[in-house]
Amino acid sequence: MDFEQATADRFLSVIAEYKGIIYKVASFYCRQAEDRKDLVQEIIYQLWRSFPQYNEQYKLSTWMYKVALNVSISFYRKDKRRQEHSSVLTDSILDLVPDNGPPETEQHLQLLQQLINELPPLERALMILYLEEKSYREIAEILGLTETNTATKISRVKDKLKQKFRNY
Amino acid sequence: MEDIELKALWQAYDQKLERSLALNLHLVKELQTQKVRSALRSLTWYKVLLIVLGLLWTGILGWLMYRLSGPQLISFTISAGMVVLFNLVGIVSYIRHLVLIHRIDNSDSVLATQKHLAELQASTLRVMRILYLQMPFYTTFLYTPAMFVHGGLWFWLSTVPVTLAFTAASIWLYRNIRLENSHKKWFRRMFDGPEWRPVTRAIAFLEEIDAFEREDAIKK
Repeated sequence: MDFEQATADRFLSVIAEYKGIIYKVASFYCRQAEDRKDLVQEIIYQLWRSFPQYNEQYKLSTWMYKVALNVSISFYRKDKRRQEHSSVLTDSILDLVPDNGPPETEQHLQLLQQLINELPPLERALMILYLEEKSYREIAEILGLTETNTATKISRVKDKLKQKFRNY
Repeated sequence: MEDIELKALWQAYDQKLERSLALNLHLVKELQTQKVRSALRSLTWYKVLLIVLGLLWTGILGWLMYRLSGPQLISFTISAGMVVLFNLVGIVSYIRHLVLIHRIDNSDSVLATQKHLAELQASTLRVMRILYLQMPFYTTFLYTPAMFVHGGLWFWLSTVPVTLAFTAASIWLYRNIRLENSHKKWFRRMFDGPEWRPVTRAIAFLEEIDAFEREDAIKK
């Protein structure tokens, strides 16, 4: 097996292992299914482009979050009215097949998604990483903040989110 | 809702994804071999378009300067030369932006990458304010040395004031088109069109990033 093929195969296994990260980040920056398909495609394409330069000194998930969040925030900032569907693929790379969980949990999940979606893009990134139970150090590294500031901000955004929950 | 409940809810979401998220590996393989339209492509094409238009205009003016020369057209030669010079500054700036866009690294930290990107979008304004400085030279294209001697009152009371007004306006715009003035009414009116929306959004986002960073600097 040549080097390029080995890299391609390794990339496929990384994507399969961490597909949840890609889907979660994409769904918190893009609620429309058709646009989300484009965003997932763009994230995977940018991960593929960046994969050869991946520095093994860092965790794979750290690298993946950085790329996924950067691509998603850039995508989110694009003017929706001028945004074209750019898919070269007709089907979705990541599909969520219908799943009937307990209705109350489903309802709470939808509310959580809605409330996180209402946060500004940087606070949203902070909250996603916090809920993913990343350490302050890793969150600080992904976002480019200091650890102290990360802790302060998380506490503030968390309070904001809890307050919103109470109001519903 | 308490912390522990928030995290439990998130875990429920995780489990749901684990159960029902299907990855189409065939499509990922297809993606690995295709050239996809990148999110940055629209920014790149916008800069390329400005470079092409700038080169076209510079070429036309250069050709006219070559064809129309002589002592009577000295003002045209100087004015067109200045316009060419400003356009070259714009073209070089946009080429530099293209190089910077190409260097954007999505695996860098979120704040660093987003700041870099937003600055690149907002930088269109910086080039624009320099380009405004060429405005008065468009009013001096048709000046001839004879006008200064025989132009009479009409020349001094109508043509020259137009040039002076354009000069004052271009200097004022150069000094005032700055990110700090983006909240002012005249600024918002001037850059209100859809073509400016990505730039004004980038400015707003830069402010958001700065607020994040300012808090960070205070804590350090």
